Amino acid sequence: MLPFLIRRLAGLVFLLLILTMLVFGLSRALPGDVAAMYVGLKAKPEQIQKARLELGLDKPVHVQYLRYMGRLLKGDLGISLRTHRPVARDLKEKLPLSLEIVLLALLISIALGLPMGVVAAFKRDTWIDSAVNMIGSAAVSLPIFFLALLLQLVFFNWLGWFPLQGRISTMMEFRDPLPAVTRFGLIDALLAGDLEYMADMAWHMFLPVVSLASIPLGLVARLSRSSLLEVMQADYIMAARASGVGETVLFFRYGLRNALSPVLSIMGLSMALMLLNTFYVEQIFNYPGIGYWALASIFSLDYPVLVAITLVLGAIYVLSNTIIDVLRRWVDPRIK
Amino acid sequence: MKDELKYKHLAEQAAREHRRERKIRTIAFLKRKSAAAALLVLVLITLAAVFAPLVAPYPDQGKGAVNLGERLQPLSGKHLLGTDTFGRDILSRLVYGARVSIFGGLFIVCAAALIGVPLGLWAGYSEGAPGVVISRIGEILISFPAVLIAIAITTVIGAGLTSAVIALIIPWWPWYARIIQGEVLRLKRMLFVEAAQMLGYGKSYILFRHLLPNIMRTVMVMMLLDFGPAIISIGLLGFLGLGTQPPNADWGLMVWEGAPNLMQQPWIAISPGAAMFILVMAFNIFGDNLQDYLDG
Repeated sequence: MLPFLIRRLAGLVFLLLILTMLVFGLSRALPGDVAAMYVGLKAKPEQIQKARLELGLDKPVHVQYLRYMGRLLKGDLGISLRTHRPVARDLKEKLPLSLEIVLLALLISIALGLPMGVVAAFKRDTWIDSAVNMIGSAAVSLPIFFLALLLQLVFFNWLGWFPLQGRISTMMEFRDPLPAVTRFGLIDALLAGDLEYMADMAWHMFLPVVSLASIPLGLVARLSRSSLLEVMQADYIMAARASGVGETVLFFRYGLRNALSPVLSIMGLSMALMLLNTFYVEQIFNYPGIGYWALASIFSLDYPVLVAITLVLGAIYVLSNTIIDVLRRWVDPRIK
Repeated sequence: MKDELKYKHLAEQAAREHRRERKIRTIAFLKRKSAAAALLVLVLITLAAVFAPLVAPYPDQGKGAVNLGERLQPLSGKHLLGTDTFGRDILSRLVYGARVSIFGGLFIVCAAALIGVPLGLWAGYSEGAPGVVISRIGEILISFPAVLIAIAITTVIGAGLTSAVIALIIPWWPWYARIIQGEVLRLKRMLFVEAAQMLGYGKSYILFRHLLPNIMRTVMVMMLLDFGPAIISIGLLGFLGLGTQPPNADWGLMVWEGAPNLMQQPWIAISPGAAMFILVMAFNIFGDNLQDYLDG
């Protein structure tokens, strides 16, 4: 296990190194004057020149890259060209907001999708099976922005059950901020014993989380069904059946555990997909996380922010895949 | 002589039976209601996309001509799906937008397979360095958000459908390379490949004549199942303004254009979104059925 972990971590470092080179190279190779963007539209040429020296843009690209990497190791991700705020500080504030809805969506998609797939496989070729199949297909076929707008239309405009957008009610924003212990809003509110705050936040998060959960829910339901059906055809199941093990025991004790491995393997992909989908969901629901920030930075070509977000997303993708590989080894000892 | 005739006769009989069995299975496949319905939807939408100028009630509006006299009209006999903020007939724009989804999706899936499959074959067969290099490059490209690639390409060659399609192919082909590499690693330990190696066939001959036919089924199913995600991805980029540019029609772009009017004139954003959902769902249901059929 340990050599495996070391190998994976080395791979992670290597991947991030390549990613930094690529994104950094791209940000310098693309048209657009970074120094001019930094000082704004009305700047005089001398001011742009001064900014260029200040940002170190007069140096060759590889020197700039090494400088960037040097600062990166100290946790300094540069300064946003758009807001002039330190990127690392914004990242620390915004990433937990997005991770919170993404992780909640992941949790929901497993908690609902797995039982759905299991029941469908157990009741194969009944109406339950076809209903689960239909729901699964529909969930993965919904374009995320369409689903988000549809939810707004139905649950805000027509039914009025959930708020249109934002992370918290305006009235709540005037209260003392919660102590940032975990930086996950719901957990911090719970730790502070402020249940009203927590409920308000959960109420705002509901629709964004549902939008994000749709695709992974469909993936998990479909995959757990098909992988269970495949496992139940295996020779060892037939052997157990022949020796008189009951169908229910056979299914849940012998089948389920072996069917879990492919379901786990889809989780890493789901994490990556949901993080990218926050770009859309946070935009539509006006939720101030990393996706909202990324889109705003994309359209203003705020390179330092884009480099940082690419790095973080890449790191999360590889890290979650590593965690899942460890889990798979634990669930399925046949993988070596 | 007599034996030869007898064997020929037997072979013909076997081939006839095989054909008959395949025919029965194809009929059984099409008799599945969901598969038939999905196929019907796919054929109809594709036909509408191909013959857009004939199908669209207002072809010029489908291409982007404004019609300010009839802004924001609700659904009616004249405009079956209403009109948008520029008074353009939404049904006509849906029909023209279908071209972007169908042909853009087709292009992405084919290009990804054309790049990924040969690389996957090579990576799987020659193990060692090529395999490692190809899978590392793939890993890097996969973890690179398509939106950022699209931005980079857009700043170089300008925004448009071409940039969006290129931006999607770049992180898409590694999936093919990865799956095919795995398949080849499994297949090449099988007897028929070893036999071909011992008979002294060259590497490329074994790759394309012995291995490729055996993975073609996987590739076809994968391409079919990738069609839906490809269409959604084009829509996602279009929604951000990184794909088709106005006044051209694109379903994702149309949803974005309709979003500000969502509460008052929901049909503007809902129609293209629903069209996308129906098309993608049809592809997924058809793909699932085909996979079941090929497996069963």
